[in-house]
Amino acid sequence: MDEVEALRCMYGDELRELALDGGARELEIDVPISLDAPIDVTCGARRASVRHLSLTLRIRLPDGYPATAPPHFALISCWLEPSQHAHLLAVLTTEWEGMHDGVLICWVERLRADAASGLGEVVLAERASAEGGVDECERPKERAPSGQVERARAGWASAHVAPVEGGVIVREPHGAFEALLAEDARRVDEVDGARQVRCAICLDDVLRRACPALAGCAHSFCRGCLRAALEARIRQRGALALGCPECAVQLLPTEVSALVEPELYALHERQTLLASLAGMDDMTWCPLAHCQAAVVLERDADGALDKLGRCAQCGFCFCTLCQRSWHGDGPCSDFKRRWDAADAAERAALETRFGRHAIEEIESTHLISSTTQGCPCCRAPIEKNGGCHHMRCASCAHEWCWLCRGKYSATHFTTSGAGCRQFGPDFFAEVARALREERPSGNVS
Amino acid sequence: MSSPGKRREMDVMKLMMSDYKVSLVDDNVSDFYLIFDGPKESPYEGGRWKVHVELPDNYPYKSPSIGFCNRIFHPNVDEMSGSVCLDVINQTWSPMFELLNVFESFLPQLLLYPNPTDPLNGEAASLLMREPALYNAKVKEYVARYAQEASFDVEHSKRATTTEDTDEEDAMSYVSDGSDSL
Repeated sequence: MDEVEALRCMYGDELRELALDGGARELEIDVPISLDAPIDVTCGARRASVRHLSLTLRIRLPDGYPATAPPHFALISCWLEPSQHAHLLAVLTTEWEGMHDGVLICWVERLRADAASGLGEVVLAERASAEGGVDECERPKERAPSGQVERARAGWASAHVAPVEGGVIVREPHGAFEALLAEDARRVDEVDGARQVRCAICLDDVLRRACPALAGCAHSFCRGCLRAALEARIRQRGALALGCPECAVQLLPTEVSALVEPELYALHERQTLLASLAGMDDMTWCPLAHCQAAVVLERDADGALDKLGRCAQCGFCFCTLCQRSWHGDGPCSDFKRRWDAADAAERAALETRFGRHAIEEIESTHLISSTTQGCPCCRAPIEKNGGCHHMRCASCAHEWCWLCRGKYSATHFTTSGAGCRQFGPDFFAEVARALREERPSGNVS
Repeated sequence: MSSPGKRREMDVMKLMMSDYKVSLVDDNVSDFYLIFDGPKESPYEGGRWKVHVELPDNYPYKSPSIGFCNRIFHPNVDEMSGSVCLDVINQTWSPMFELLNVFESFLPQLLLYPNPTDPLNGEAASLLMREPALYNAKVKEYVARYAQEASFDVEHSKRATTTEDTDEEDAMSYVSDGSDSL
């Protein structure tokens, strides 16, 4: 049917086709009505003011339409008074009598213009939700005066209203007041959103609805500008808070994630996490390269941080001091190296972390290694407390040279060439000369 | 994402309408020179600097880059390159800021209140902290020597021929582009 197609083109989402049974078509059209001045809506003690109302026109097209049979129709709203209802019925009937073909479009336009004319106030009957425990519409079988018009006190959001025939009056359903307000708010947004506003960043005129207000400060910019500004900022230094370009009030994470590219948002989140974790002392990272998850350290009874880190992600247990796998309470393998490299302040810190015992151990090892040499044969530490460089190990009897750690032989220090490095080819000549020079004083040692 | 051209042109237009001398390079609003006067009641008063302004591709989402062409003695301006270290034209830039803000408030504020704790010119910073009187004298000496309109071309042709560093190109382009229109 061409007329229905035309309606569909004109009203889009506002038109619904309900049922197709036996060739008859049933349509529902939401007719938005904008009021010249706001009117009051009361429901018991509740009171509000609205500027937009809506009315649903339900139509069934019989077989003889449009040549002979008029369409059956019903008006569904929760705010139409019986007198207005009768008036509208008369108006629509007159329209039909004046023009059969294409009457539906005229009806909708007439309703849009006239439905709320003369409406002073909407009073909704309060109905306790406890009444019978039923929130659905009650439909007493009452004949409406016209026989074809239904006065439905139902929210237009409700799609399950009575069928057209019978002229049924549907009473005030629970929630009609809220539905009225919600519809008004939706329409206000819609009308407001269609306004043109100037984005303060790009200076372009854009639709109001393309400039969502920020939750924190209600400033608004066009989406493109906000996105570009946020992305530029994340690329520049993502760890920092992303704020409103105007007042720097921080944006909600959801606002940011809805705008920027997912990869950039992930980068931003990661950087924010790193920045916040850097300020926490009971936090570290799993040292395994493939894991690198955040690890929270436990504290002992004194509140000191546990040296043992347990990665919840991969289960790796590690020493937080040396980042290697857990080695018990003993000092870390690279402890000596760190101790040697540390200055006084660092050493104090290390001592606090490792305890005095570990430090003494280190110092003792250090002393031993600085004053002894391991036997080249059995590695037993040997201290040289005087005497010549010819050593004889007390544990394995190996004879060796303290200077070059080579095996000692009777000619080691005398044979030039094969001898010890300290005793070069002209060593003995030099010693002899020194002796000759010192001889006059007579105290050769 | 490319930047809104309307905003770019509007910002430069506002500079011109506020009586700043602006000379575009190759008729491009993204690259121009501007004459900037030292703020009153500062040692920089009476000085005139030629400032090179470049707007990045994603301006105004990203900050403009600002550089002094003739020499200035200031803790937060590099003496040789003329680059400026100022948070509001770097990290804390907001796309709501515009070029007029930079020249009406950010730069004058920087000249009035140098930040010697975060210096680009270490000599200027230490002088300001230890010998403020000497600092003022040196600033004024620089103003007299390098920051007079008559000295622009001399200064720059000199720098262009004597300096071997990276700002040579800038100085050369300045001489060729700016001298006829200013």
